[in-house]
Amino acid sequence: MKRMLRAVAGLVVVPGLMLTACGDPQTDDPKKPATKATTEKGTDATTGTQAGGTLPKGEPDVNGDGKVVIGVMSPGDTKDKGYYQSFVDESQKYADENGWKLTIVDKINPAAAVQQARNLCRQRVDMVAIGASELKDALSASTEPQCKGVTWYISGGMGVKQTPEFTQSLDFINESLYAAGYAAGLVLKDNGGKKAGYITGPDLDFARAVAKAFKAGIKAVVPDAELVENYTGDFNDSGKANEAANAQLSQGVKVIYPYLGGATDSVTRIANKKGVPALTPGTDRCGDASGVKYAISVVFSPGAYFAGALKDFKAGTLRMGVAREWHLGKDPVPYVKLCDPKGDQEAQLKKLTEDIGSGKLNVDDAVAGKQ
Amino acid sequence: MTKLLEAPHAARPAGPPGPAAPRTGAPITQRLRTPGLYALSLSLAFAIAGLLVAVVGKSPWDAAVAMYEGSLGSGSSIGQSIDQAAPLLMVAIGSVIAARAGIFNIGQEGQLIIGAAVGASVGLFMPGPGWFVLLMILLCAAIGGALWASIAAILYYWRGVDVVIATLLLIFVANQVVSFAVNRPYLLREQAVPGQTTASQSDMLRESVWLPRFGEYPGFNIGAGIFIAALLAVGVYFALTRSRWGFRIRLLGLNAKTAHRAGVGAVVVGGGALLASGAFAGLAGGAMLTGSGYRIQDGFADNVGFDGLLVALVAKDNPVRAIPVALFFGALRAGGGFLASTGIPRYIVAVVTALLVLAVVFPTAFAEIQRRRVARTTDA
Repeated sequence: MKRMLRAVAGLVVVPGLMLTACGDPQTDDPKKPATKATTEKGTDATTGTQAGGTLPKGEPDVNGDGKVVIGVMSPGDTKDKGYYQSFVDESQKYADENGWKLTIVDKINPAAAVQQARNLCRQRVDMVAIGASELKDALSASTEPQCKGVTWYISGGMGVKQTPEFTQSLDFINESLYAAGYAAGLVLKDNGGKKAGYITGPDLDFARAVAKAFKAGIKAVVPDAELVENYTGDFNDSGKANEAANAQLSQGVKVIYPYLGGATDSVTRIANKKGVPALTPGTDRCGDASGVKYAISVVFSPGAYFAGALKDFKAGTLRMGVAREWHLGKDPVPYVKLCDPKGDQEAQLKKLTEDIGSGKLNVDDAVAGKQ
Repeated sequence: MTKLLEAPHAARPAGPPGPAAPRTGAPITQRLRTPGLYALSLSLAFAIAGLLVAVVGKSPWDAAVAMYEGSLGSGSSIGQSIDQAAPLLMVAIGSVIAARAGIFNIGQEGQLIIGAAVGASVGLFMPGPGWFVLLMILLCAAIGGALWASIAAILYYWRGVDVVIATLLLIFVANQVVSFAVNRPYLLREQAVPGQTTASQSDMLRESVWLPRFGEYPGFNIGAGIFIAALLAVGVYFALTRSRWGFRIRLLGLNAKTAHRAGVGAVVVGGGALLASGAFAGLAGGAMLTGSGYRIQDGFADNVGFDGLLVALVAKDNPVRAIPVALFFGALRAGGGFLASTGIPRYIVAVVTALLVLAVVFPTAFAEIQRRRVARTTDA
């Protein structure tokens, strides 16, 4: 019995001691700092232009089989009427116009991203389009033999380490969400509220960054405003999102931001019933015919960015190894729109957008509280 | 093999006292019942799956071809099926051990993800040569899984909390624990460069601690995980059938009272079996971490724990029989992934693969229900 106890204690304690003695993980292989392989800053991307990079032969039919097939990968539900759906809708529209075939794989577990990318390559797609940076691991398949010649695009959000095999679009949370907060602040000022609500899914790094920029934007208009934040753990769980919405409304929030996926409309319906204005998480839904009413459209849809890439792809000018940045106030998207502006609200929002675009307002400093 | 190995649970009806009756061949209808049930359930599953695929405007034939292509159609597909089978087999082996001891552990999904998280911690922070760190990842993953299972064991033997309930609920806790860890920069969340946001995942393990792979993509290639799993399956089979430990486990599972009178401690042997079950699930997490994903994320377990449990059920709690069953389930998973990449909606793929799993599980489950009904009638 004693021997058994010692053995068990050894099994538990020894690894614990080894864990506490942890040191530099790269000590065994200084040439290959693999733990940083996907996180260190990549080669500088060519930005705002399509110069540089490499041009795949025969675009758009890069594999020369006489047809153009685009494989779309999405981590979320492509029927969410929002962010993820916009990526597919735009691709579908472009594919239909040009007689291309679209193969959509959605709800991909990030752990299975590489395998799904390989599967698409085996279907002889001409382009693998990745809808969100959560699936960035899929890019590692771009150098494998079965994906040879395939063009790769990723909606990179704030950025994915650039390599010569893919192109990406970049946008900036602070720009879009500060402006969204500003618009919400205008609405809040108009309805006399002091509280705004923000409901999102998992407590993620970018979800916190969104809340921070949104709050800063609100405070630019209503300095003593408060932001009530709820992280439900799931972008698509309407039950949890509704619960959070009801709790926020009972606390007196006067504008609500459902920064969600499939649960967005569900929250907005509740807000509509209480007469509380809501914002869209990525798409333009002013005048939406679905019966769900939005007061502010915050447009940073990956579909709009992808449309730019598809246009180049069709023209045979989409280069790999480059990134394209999308700035508020400079490019057609992203933008923020008040669906039913009152007084000079529209003019104020327009001025803010222009100031951000021209650099007159350093939005990063504003979010950080330096301005 | 021995009757003790053939009998999965304590509820098997005892034969009449006295000398054993001579064995007589079962009637042909009875012998054909199981294959008949398999044929019926599989036909039904294929028919419903085909109908669902047709409803969404796709060709059922093309879907069937895609399932084949993705699982067995090429060297890389076969390799993918085998890779998918490895963690399933590890989970199944652990399930067999617990089931043999009369304990129904259904929390492998949680034990697996905790094992993987512990393995990831070791892999990311432990210095040392790659082979040594790899060994430590697998060992610590197994220990992590065992420790997670030990919570259910303690609750059961100390406070009488049902193992099924405890292990099941601990899955949710495990998911939250890992989610917390991969979202905190001071724990496991990936390092980010300034200006970039990070995802809910750890950094990638360095290549020197990955499980070796044999062959090159897109040709036939497999990871070492399947060899570890197969060796463990054979080892556990012999341990269960030929060792004193295995005899005690089977005795406890067949009749706890008899085991107690024979001096078999339920806490040590039964609790040990539950811990072993957790260890195998944790090891499966370690194998997945070092064999394919190389980093831990939210949703990492991806139902492998539950599927592994089903492998054990279909294999009738026989670790060696679990090998082909795990390969079949691995092929289903690989084929399902490929089917999704043909454009068939994800929810249809999920339903199709679930139907096929159900078709394979049904005859075994039906036979078990029948057996228990007979046992109850005999007892009455």
